[in-house]
Amino acid sequence: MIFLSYWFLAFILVLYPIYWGVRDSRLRLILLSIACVIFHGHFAGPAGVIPIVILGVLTYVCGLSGKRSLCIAAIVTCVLALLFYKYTEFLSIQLIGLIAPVTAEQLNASAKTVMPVLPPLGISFFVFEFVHYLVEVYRGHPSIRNPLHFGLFAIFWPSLVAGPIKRYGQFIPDLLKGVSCVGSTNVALGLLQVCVGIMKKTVADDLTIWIEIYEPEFATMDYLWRWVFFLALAFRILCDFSGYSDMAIGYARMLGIALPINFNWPYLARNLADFWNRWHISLSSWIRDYIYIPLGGNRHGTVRRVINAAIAFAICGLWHGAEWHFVAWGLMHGTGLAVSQNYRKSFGPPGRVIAVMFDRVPLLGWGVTFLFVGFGWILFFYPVTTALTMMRLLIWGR
Amino acid sequence: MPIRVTERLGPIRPRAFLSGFAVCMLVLCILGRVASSTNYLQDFQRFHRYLSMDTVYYPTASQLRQLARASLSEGRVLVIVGGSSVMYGVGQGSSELWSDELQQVLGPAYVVLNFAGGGTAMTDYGGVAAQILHADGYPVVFVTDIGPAGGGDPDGLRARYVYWDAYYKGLLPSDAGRMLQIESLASSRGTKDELDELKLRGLVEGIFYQTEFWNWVGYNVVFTVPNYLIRLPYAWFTAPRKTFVDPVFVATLPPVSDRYPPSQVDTQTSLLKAYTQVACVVHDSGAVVERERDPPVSASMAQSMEGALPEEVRRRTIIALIRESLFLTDRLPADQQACYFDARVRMATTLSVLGYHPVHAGLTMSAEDYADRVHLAPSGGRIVARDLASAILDLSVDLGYVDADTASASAREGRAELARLQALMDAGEGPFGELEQLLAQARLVRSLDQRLEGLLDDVDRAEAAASEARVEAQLLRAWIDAGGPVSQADGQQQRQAQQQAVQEREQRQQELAAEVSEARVRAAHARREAERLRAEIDAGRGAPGAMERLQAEERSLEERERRLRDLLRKTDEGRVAADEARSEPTRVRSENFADRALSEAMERLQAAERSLQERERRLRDRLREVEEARAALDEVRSELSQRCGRLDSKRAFSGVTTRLQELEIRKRERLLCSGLTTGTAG
Repeated sequence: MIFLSYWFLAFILVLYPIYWGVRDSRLRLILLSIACVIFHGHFAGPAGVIPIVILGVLTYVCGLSGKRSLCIAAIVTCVLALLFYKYTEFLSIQLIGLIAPVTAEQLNASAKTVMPVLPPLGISFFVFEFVHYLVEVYRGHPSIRNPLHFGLFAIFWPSLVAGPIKRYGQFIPDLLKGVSCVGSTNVALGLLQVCVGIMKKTVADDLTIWIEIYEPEFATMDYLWRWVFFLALAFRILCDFSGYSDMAIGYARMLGIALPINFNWPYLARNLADFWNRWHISLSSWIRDYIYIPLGGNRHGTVRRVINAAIAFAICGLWHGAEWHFVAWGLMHGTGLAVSQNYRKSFGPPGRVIAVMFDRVPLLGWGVTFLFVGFGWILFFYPVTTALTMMRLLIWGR
Repeated sequence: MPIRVTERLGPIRPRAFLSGFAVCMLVLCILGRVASSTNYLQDFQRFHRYLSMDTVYYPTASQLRQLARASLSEGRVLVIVGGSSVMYGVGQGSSELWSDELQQVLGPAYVVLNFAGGGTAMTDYGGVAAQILHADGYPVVFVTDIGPAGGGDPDGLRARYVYWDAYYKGLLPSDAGRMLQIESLASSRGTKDELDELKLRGLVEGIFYQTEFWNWVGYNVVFTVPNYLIRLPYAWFTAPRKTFVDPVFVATLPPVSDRYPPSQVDTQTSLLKAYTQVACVVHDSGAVVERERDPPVSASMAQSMEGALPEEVRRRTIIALIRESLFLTDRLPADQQACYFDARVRMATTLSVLGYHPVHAGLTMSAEDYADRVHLAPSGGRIVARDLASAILDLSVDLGYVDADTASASAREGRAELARLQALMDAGEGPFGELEQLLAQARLVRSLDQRLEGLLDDVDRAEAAASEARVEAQLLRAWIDAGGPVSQADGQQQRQAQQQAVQEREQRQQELAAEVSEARVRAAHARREAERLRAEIDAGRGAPGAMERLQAEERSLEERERRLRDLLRKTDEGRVAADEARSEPTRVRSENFADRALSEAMERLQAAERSLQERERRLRDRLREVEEARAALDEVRSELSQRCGRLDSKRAFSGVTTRLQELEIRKRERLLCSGLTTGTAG
């Protein structure tokens, strides 16, 4: 946990007083750039920095050229880099291995000889932001001309590790505005959000330990305790993800820079679409804008809509980790979302009756959504067979 | 100007908020500092499981210092025990701890504090505490053990944080040479980032005192972090740590044969072999020499031990060289045994050169004195305590902490205390009387526990048997209710009646058949007569009155036919009745066969019901006994608790228990005296 390390504490204890003390916005930009380089260099190490620098330079140059073909080439390169660093083993062993196990092993072994032990820090976020930038430039939006601005967009330290995924059209103006004036309001709000984030993260860490202690006993524990476990799982991931996002947003706010909100009370959602408008907003909107809509979105009928949602969410699941249960989790949500948006029409009179019930009793919608999301978290955290067993134990008790 | 934090939170004033934040942080830091300047650990004996890193409790350098300060009074020598789990006392319960024995033997002029821990090394808690207290000017003797490779890095092994905690709080003198050594070690191992993180942790701790504050809260009020060892249903992880006691009161060691499982003996012996092979070689002539390598084993150990502690502390450090269990060393080939012991002698020489005071402790121990390969059983702990006590007394005199007279007086007082305890024990008075009762009660508790378990097993069995009997009885009753059991006599009577009815009905059937044939004959005759008369009438030759006779004959015929129909109907009915009656004896006969089975079933049912009643009665008895046993157990436990509370302190209690188990007082005195007069170092 980078934000809870002592190095990081020392880093901010040095950075913020200097940043606030410097009045000139250019100097602040330079100071912020240096801080970002130090932060990234310290936590990613040379093996993590070099690929990002190469991808960043490529993205910057291709974006600057404004040529569509170059943008496409850069997008392909970024995606291939992500696949290489994060999904080589999954693709070779889990996919190619199904057809040709020997080839898959050889492929994986040769890839490992050139791969670092761990993928570069935050490569998923980098690639998503670079792809977003290149797609927007491809669509005709202006590119970032100032390399310092692009560098800060690429390695802005608060959002480097766990987002939120920034949009450059929003970030660059906020950055320029933030470095020119940082008031006590920003600092107070940022500090408050950091404190909230730390509290959430502390709760999440405690819940993590608790879950690890009791998970082996899930099959033998009392029925009621299983549901407590279920709740712990749901709140652990909420506190973990949103706590980290809160800290990132808060630290950025203390620099005067606004980052997009990432979680908005997601467990109060009354349906799945509402949930995804509240949960990891920057990721879900990225998936929507750059995967779901390009696939056709909801423009080609119900069947295509369902398929598009399933593909988009499967990719969303895979983004969280290179395991089948993440894919299953994504598919579950994709299917759930398609059903929740179409059941009124597709299920005929029973669908309309259910819709009326959900409309008249909002608590029912909330409860069903929460249960669906909670069962999804079981699939998110555990292999498919284990998750199914846990679900069976939760529902039927044996 | 107020700002709205969110839609849900109200407005806040930024400057007020920031000021409040700063004030809160300041207050927390002050509270941390206050906590660091007081000793709040009650009845400290050792950093047991619930006061250790195993359960996410991180004792700080300030706590070590305050513990020592609180225990120490004017003129007393502080004996700090550090090192590994051997010195911690794995294999000994809190009532039989070797460092308590050491305290008893050394007498009142000395204060023994056991800062050793599981997996820690010389330079962890004990080493840091010795350095701090020496720097503070206290008379310190540091007692520790080391591993084959030395006593850990200069900043510790498992609890490195405590060194940097002490360093950045200014409790340790700065030493540029040691810092360089630590940096160099981290660089060579590629652990520079970890070292930097530890140093930053120490630096931040030195400014904010956050661990001090949270340790105080966790010990006195509430603990906030879950862990694997404190869990339901035993305890909530939130329970303050002051409510936990050392989980091992009395060590439960298996017989010697089971302490060294055959499956592990080979592995453990091979560890020893590896050690001897690295350390030395045996020439054909039988001479044991150190194995040639670059650098030699002794040289690398010397380098490690030289940097581990400052020279001033090394001069105050006794290193207990305790060999592995004889059970295993005896299994080494002769040349490797020679190598093993030679390496230990060479290690002692190297340590002596560096200023340490090595003591070959526990040379008289046998395999029974070990809990496993390295850890000591209570008896082994007592032997080591006696061996080390002599060295401590010597060293404290040599260092000028106490003069020889004071040391002797302290030892004498210790002996007197032991004698007094012996007398009390013999008389069964004072704490010994209490102790005897306590032990008796503990035994009673154990026996009651066993009895309770036995009773509960009985109850379970009785319940199972009663349940079976109940099911069988229900089944039988249901069968009887459905079929209806009859007695044999009733069955026979019924069968005879049925046979008689069959005979009557058959006879009646025959009579009816005869009547029918007769009626048929008469009817045929009447029909023929009627036909003759009609023919005569039709021919006009009918005799006078023929018409009347014909009509009479026809009426008679009709009557006979009616009677014939009646008879035929009755015959059919009789046939059916006869068939029924004929089949009746078969049914009755089969029921008579069933009667026997039913009778047997009834007997079984009655037996089962009797058994059920008996078992239920026994169950009630058992439950009553369980209740009584439970009540007795609670009573004894309560009394035991009260008695434990009445004892002066756990230390006194544990010392007393140790006395009870060890009756060799005079032998100890002799050893103590010989140690005082001859010295034992080397």
